[in-house]
Amino acid sequence: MLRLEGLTPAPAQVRGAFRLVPLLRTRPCDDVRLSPGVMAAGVKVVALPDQAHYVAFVPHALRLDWSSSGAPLMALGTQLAGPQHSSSPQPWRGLELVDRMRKRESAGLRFLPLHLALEGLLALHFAPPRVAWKELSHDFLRAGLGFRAESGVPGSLLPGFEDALNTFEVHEGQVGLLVFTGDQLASAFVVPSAQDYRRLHRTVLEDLYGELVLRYAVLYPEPPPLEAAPRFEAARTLPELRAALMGVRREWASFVEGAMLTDLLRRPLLTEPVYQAGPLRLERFVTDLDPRQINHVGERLTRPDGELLYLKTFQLSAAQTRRAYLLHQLAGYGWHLADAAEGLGTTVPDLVARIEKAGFGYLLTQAVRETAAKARRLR
Amino acid sequence: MPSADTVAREDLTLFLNAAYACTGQREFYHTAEDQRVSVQFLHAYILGNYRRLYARTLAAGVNDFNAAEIILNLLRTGRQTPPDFRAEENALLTAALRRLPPQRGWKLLSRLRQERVNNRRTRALLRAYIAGQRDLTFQAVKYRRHVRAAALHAHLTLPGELPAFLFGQHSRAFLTPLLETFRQARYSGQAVYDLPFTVAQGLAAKHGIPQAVFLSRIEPRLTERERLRLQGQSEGRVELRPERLSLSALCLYVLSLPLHERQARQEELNGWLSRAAGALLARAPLPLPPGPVASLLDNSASAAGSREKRRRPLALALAADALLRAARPEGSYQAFWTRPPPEALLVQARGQTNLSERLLDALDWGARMVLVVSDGVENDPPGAFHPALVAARRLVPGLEVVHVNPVFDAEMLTVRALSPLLPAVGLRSAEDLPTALGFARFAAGQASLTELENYLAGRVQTFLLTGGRRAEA
Repeated sequence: MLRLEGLTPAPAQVRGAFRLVPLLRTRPCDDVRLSPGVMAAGVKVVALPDQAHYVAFVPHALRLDWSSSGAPLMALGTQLAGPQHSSSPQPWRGLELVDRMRKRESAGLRFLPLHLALEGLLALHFAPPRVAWKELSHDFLRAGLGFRAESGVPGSLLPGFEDALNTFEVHEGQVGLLVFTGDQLASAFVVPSAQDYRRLHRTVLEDLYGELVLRYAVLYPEPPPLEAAPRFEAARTLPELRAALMGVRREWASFVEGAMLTDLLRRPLLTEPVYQAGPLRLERFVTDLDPRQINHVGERLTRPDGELLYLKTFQLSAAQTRRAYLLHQLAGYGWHLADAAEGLGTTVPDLVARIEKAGFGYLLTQAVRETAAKARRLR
Repeated sequence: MPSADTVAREDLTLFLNAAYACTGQREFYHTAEDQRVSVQFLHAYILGNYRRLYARTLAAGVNDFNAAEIILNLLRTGRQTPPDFRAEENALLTAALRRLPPQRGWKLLSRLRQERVNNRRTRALLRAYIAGQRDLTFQAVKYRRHVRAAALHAHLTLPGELPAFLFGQHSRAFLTPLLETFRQARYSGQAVYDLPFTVAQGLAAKHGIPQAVFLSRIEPRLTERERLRLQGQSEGRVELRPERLSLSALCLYVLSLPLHERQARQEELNGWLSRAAGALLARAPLPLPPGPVASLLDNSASAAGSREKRRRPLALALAADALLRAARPEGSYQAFWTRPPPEALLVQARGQTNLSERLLDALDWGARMVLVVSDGVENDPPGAFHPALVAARRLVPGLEVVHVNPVFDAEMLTVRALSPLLPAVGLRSAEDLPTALGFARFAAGQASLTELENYLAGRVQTFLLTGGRRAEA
């Protein structure tokens, strides 16, 4: 379960189709820093540990520094960071072959935002079959899942998003931002400290967004007013009035957590640890892939006590959810079609149709697909 | 259904507010194009429906951008002037044109030519303007292109050697010293320094004179605005004379300095500010009620303005603070910034807008009158100011709140108000704050159309009597 531990939502700022909710950190964080990493934007080839490769457009990288002893990493006004690797194109050469997306550098960890999560989406829900069922195609058994692609929309293409970010008034202790379009969560972004946030605020524009975000941004150019309706009439004195105002803030915070984030919070998560940075855990997660709800993939960094230090999410489209769900289920049943069909409450021909519709038809042999099609026709 | 009078009053206050604040330039939330389209619509609407009142707004202290627009629009549609109003309109036009700063005045004449507005009245106005110039030769050198356009447009024969200067080949020497200097400056690097700065600048570039040498030698000829403009790049070669700057310009300058410099020169800068505020108050005192006064000053991120109007909303807040501090005795005034700086001088545009919270702070302190300087965009929490104000008016009897807004909202066609009970008053520079406070009761809807008409007629009287010099409330 994901919780916004240690964060308080502040009242939203609306501009165009975007409702932006700032997140404030309750307790300042001074031993973990996240800074814009050194990586030129462009198309990169990323090698995964299991011999697979993937090609992706990489907008920018983040660099995580942490102190293992818990001592502050920065003094007031200055920054104690490792040496800047600004210009040297060190770990990859030639056609920008990135050996790993997360790479331990001398002092910190460099990683590419959202690619942890997307890599997860592409690979996490796929467990190769252990039994060579005769239904599975030769290519699948020999070469694995093969080529897969998922797409998103860069933030700069969302109409009005840049404007909304530029005119957003960053709060004093703000460490994060929730982006809503059509009152659906488009993405969440949280960093350890307010200073980091100031530097990274605009990188939100360079990130990747689900296609539903684009659709909502175009379809709902003006979100309905959602003002924290204050109840000030009852106040008899000035202190009571002030209490009422504070009440409005509290209500807003609980409203955001309770009503606006239902498809992210309080849902079972599938998580996978990616890196252990000192006492901190970097993990990727995906919500339970319930096809009836909007699902998010994301990555997060948490302290042992559960405080959320870093969070980035990506809203999956319905098709993406279906694909991931299907692969997940098939892997769960060891790719045995009859078992899987029974478990999913359907028949084998229908399951085959579903697999074909999701674009994975090439995983099954021609004979199986033809038999299933015939069975469907005869019904 | 509202009566015709109410509609007229509301239309007019809407227009006046826009004409106080809007300059057709980019703002934090809207582009220059939005602003231009929106304000032009307002002009066309008011001109079409309330021509007399439209002309009279020239006397109500609208900003120079809008004054120029009004003059142009009135001249464009001269045929529609009612006969009994012709004399007053002409007087207003003459006075308003004379009041415009020279660069705007000449540019307006040029525009008349571009847009082919040419009738007897336009030519007479042009003649009067040119005849009224104290130093036409200087103007002809400084605004050569515009003066030539104006002379051509009105078929004027200019006195002395000006026709040869504006239309000739400059092959023979001039007898007028300035014209001769200009002629020589095309060939000699020496003569450049005797020309007005803007003219000299181009010629200096032509002669390849290094910037540092040029600035140090042209320094005595600089006007105050030019000094201000050159402060940053001159590395101390150009000296600023703060006593000659207006309060708004001074505040803009102070805010342009980096924080550490503001901190180091605190005493000096504060002295400048209070002197400028004192001078402004001596000319036009602020119409303030007795009792404790608080100001609610917005220094949220949006107060940073835009690339074209950098830090103007913040500068206005700082100027209002300086004015009130100078106007009120010690202890009866207190400023409440949305994000309090350690010292007013060190203010920065950062963070969200939490005006309701500061309003309560001001009331706790005991304020009976609150002046709000804000762009009216409130987001922490949004929409809380209105109910807070309603409750505060109930709890604090006799509470008076005035909202001045330096930013024209192109979408709403007016300056944005914080609460329907508290219409905002547009404000472009701190020098107009006395006018704005005088106008606030019309914006608040307490006065009738007749009162507003009388107010405008009164302003017209003073305006024409003072020959168009800046009339204060």
